[in-house]
Parts: sequence; structure tokens; C-alpha cells
Amino acid sequence: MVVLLTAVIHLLLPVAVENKAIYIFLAFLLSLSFLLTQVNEVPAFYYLRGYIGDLSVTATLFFSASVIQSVRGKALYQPVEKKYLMLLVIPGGLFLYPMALGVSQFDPYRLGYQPQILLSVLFLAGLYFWYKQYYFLVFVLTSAGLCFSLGLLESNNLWDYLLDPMLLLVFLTMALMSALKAGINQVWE
Amino acid sequence: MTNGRIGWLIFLLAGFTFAWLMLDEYEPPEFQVVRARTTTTQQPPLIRSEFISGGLTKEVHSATAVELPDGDIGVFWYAGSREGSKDVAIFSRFLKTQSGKDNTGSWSDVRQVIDRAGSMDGVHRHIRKLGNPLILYYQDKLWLFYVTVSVGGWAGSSINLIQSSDKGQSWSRPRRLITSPFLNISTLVKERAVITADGSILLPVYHEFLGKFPELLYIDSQGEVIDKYRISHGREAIQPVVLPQSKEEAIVLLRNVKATGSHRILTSQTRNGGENWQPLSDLALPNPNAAVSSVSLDRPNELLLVFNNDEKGRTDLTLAYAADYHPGLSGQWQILYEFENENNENPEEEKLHNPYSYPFLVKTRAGDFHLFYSWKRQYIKHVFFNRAALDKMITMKGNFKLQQERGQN
Repeated sequence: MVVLLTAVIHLLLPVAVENKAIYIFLAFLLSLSFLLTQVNEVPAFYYLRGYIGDLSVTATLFFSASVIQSVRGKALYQPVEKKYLMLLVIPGGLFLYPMALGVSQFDPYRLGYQPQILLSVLFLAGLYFWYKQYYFLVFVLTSAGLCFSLGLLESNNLWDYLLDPMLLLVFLTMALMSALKAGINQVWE
Repeated sequence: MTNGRIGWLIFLLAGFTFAWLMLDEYEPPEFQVVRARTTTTQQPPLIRSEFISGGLTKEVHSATAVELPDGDIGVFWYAGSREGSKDVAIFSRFLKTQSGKDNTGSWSDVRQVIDRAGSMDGVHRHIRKLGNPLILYYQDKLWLFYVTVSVGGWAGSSINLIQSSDKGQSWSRPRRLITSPFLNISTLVKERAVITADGSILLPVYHEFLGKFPELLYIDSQGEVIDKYRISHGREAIQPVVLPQSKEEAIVLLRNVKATGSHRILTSQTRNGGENWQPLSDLALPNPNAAVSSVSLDRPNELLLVFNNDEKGRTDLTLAYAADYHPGLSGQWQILYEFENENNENPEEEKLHNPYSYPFLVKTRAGDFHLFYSWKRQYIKHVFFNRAALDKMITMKGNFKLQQERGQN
């Protein structure tokens, strides 16, 4: 959770510093001290888990990879892979959450409990990404399927291994920031 | 192809093959219908009532009960200074019945089962408040499902599960059922779970966030959610009472939460084990946005229902009977008995808003009945009535209470 909070700080609050390792270290310390603070005799991470839930395998891998590649300066995923991931998570989340919360009689979340169809779709997507040599995405999708089959998260539903509201929020924010930046650049040009 | 490319392909194929092989096969559910009525000795008609919650807390609500193998009745409810406050905890009490080993016919002491702090320690999450419990006896254990909220009001509810193998003396650590992809919020319990023919559980639940709608959670013998079925959607109905009538067929009765339109109990039926449900329709009985409770009797479609017989408020608590209920037909329900009615009270007494609510009806294997409900939110009230009393109510078509009041059993 500390690493992931660090990643969120890093992704959402990019600061122009020369030594990124120091910046990451400071974000790490900030996250750690926040999570261990007792609030009303309860660790702060209890509140965080209560409010934002647990992260999906996709979010865990993406945030971790973002932190690691930032520190090491070596890309773990291509920019196009991040775009693909955003293209999967943003429409997926915006479709899944309202439907699962009762907007229609069809409940896509149900597909994640007995996920033969969902696993087949993921496998085909994985094959496509392998063909395109997007190996980070192959790694993410296969890891989500493996973690689901091993029951590594609290959930018994494949959807919860693929995406979560926090990841959706971060991706939406990133997409908005990119759009604003593109708009500003266009104005300047 | 490079070695790296082949390696990624092998990783992909092996990973998904493993995931596919690990998938559990399961059969669509079939209901288990238990209709055996034990023929007891010829008892006179008997109705008696008592307060059982002990007055330990300012407010009590949402009783749930179960008959144990020895015939004892376990009752659970939540209580605290007020609904939604931090001090709300789940409490229990057990009735040692005449047929039980102890043959004492007395209540155990009120015992606190779990509170907010205990729940937080179990699930390692902040919890704001506790809510409705639902008790089930299954696989030689008590299974207590109960609602907790981490964020917001009841819309932010999750369902937790604790189990006891020693009749409520000790309980397992709480764990959450994951029932919603959005922060696992918006799922609550209220009414009795149904055991399927293969020994799994169908747990009636409902949502109170974007939509107000009922669902069934299909839970395996390990307590894991393995599927879910949506009964309806939108913002119409909550707190489903599921009444299996055959292996494939069941009726559901629902609390009506529609903002506009009819104020009647809602109903639907399934013909494939709960997987698909017909659109909701109105029952011929009123519903003031209040929970109802119901049990199946000896014959298929023979139902007993406890409800508030008023469209505007929970000012009464009434027993109704349908000899052969079929959705859509009128004139099927016979009003049998009034457990409570505000109008019968002392007119000088201060009238409370919705004084009689959240009924929970239990039919015992011996064919008798225990009803529990919130009495002015101050007490959990218990009403026992035996089969002879029910038979007499049915025979006398609603005049039973009059005779009771005159002392003529």
C-alpha cells in the first residue's frame, strides 16, 4: 500500500526535480508515515482501505512499474501500452460500475464470478498484445488471470483483479490532464 | 521468433491454461423445499408475547432468528444509542424450548456478539457503523451475516460473515463478502437465506446506492460468493423474502420503495432456481415502504405473511394467509390476526413514527411459529403462536383476536 500510495503521489503530482530517487524516497516516507499514523485509535490505513478499497492486480502492477521505471530511468512499458491500458480501464469502469449498481437488469459484474467468457476475452486480448509485442500488457492480463485463479485478493470475482475505482480515477485524471495540456499547447501554437 | 517472444507466448498460454483449469464447475441452483410438518400432540390454540431485548440499549432494531437442531431458537438484532451510531453492536439471545434438551423453556442472557471495533479488527478497515444481521444455521454452524458501513450512509453497506460452532459462545473473525465492484459498497441483508439442493446458500440481498433493487447471492459451503442473480433493477424494491415452492420455482415478496405509484407489497417469481425473475407486480396488500416477512406452509403456494396493513405507516402488524397463492390473482389473501395496532392503544399515549417494523417470522419443524419485530424501536418483541392457533385463525377468518380478547380459546 505504501508503494502504491507513493506511485499515486508520483503520477498525479509530478515535480520537476533532477534526482527522482530522492523525490520517490520522500513520497515513500510521506506515505509510510501517513499510513502508520493512529487516527481515533485506528491506523490511518484502515481509513484508506475503508474509503478506497483494495487495488486490482492491474493497478498494483501499473503503479509499481511506474515507480520503478521512474527511479531506474528504464521504461518497463511503452507509452502506447499505457494508452491501451487506459482505453481498456476507462470505458470498462464507466460501463461496469453503473451497470453493477443497478442501472439495468443486465449485471456485467456477474460475468466475473464464473468467468469463462471473461477469461476467453482476456486471453484473446493477450494474444493480440503479444502479437503487437506489448509485453507489459501480456504480463498484466496473465497476472490478473493467475492471481484470480489462486484467489490472492479478497474478492472471488475476476473483475476485481482487472480494475478498481482508484485506477479508474487516476486514469481519468491523467486523461484529463493530457487533454488540458494538449489544449493549452494548441492555444500556444 | 526471438527467445523473449517465445517466452512471453509460453507465459500467456500457460497462465491462461492454468486459470482455466482452476475454474470451479458448479451446477445452477435448485431449491430445497422442506414441507414436512411434524404432527404434534393436540394442543389448544396458544398465542403469547414478550419483550426479549432486555432494555440494555436505547434503541433496538432488525431482529433475525433461526431454529437450531435441538429446537432452541437463536435471535439476533442490532442495538445502540440510535440507528447508525458508533455504539451499535449485534446482540443475541437463545430460547431453550420445551422440546430442547434442557426443557426449561427459558431465555438465555442477552449477549453481545460483535461491535464496530471487533469488525474493524477482523477486516482491517475503518467501519463507521453496523446494521442489519441475518442468522442461518448451516453445516452445524451458526452463520451470521451482518451489514457494516465504511463510507456514507446505508448506501455504503457491505456484508460481513462470522461463524460459530458452539451455539454463539464464540465467533470466527469477520470477513467481507465481495458483492460489488465499486468499493464493495451498496449491499445489505435482511431476510432469511435459502439452502439449495446441492447444499449451497442463496442469500437474498438488496442494494441502496444508485439503484434500490434486490439480488440473490449464490454462496458455496465455504462462504464464498460464486454467482449472483438480479431479481429486478432500478429504484423499486428492496428486502426480498424468497419462498421456494419447488426445485425450480420460488416466489419473492418485496418492500416497495417506489417514490411514486402504488404503495403495495411487490412480488415476482422464478422458474429456474432464481437465475431469472419475472417483472415485479403488485400484491393486493398495502406496503408503507416497510419490510415484510413470510414463510411457506404445508402445501405448495400456501403462504403466511406478516406485514403492515397500511399504505401510510408502520402503525400495525398483521398476519395474512394465502391458501394457494399465485401472482397476479386477486382475493387470495385472508387477514388472520392483528399483532399490533396503534389505534388500539391508549389514545393519551404519544404516537411514535412507524412503531411496529422489521418482522421476522420463523416456522419451526414442529409446525409452530415465532415472530420477532421492532416494538417502537425500544424492544424486540417475540410472539409465539402454535399451529393450532393458526388453524383456528384460518377457520375463524379474522375473528380470532376478538375471541382471544374475550378469553375464549
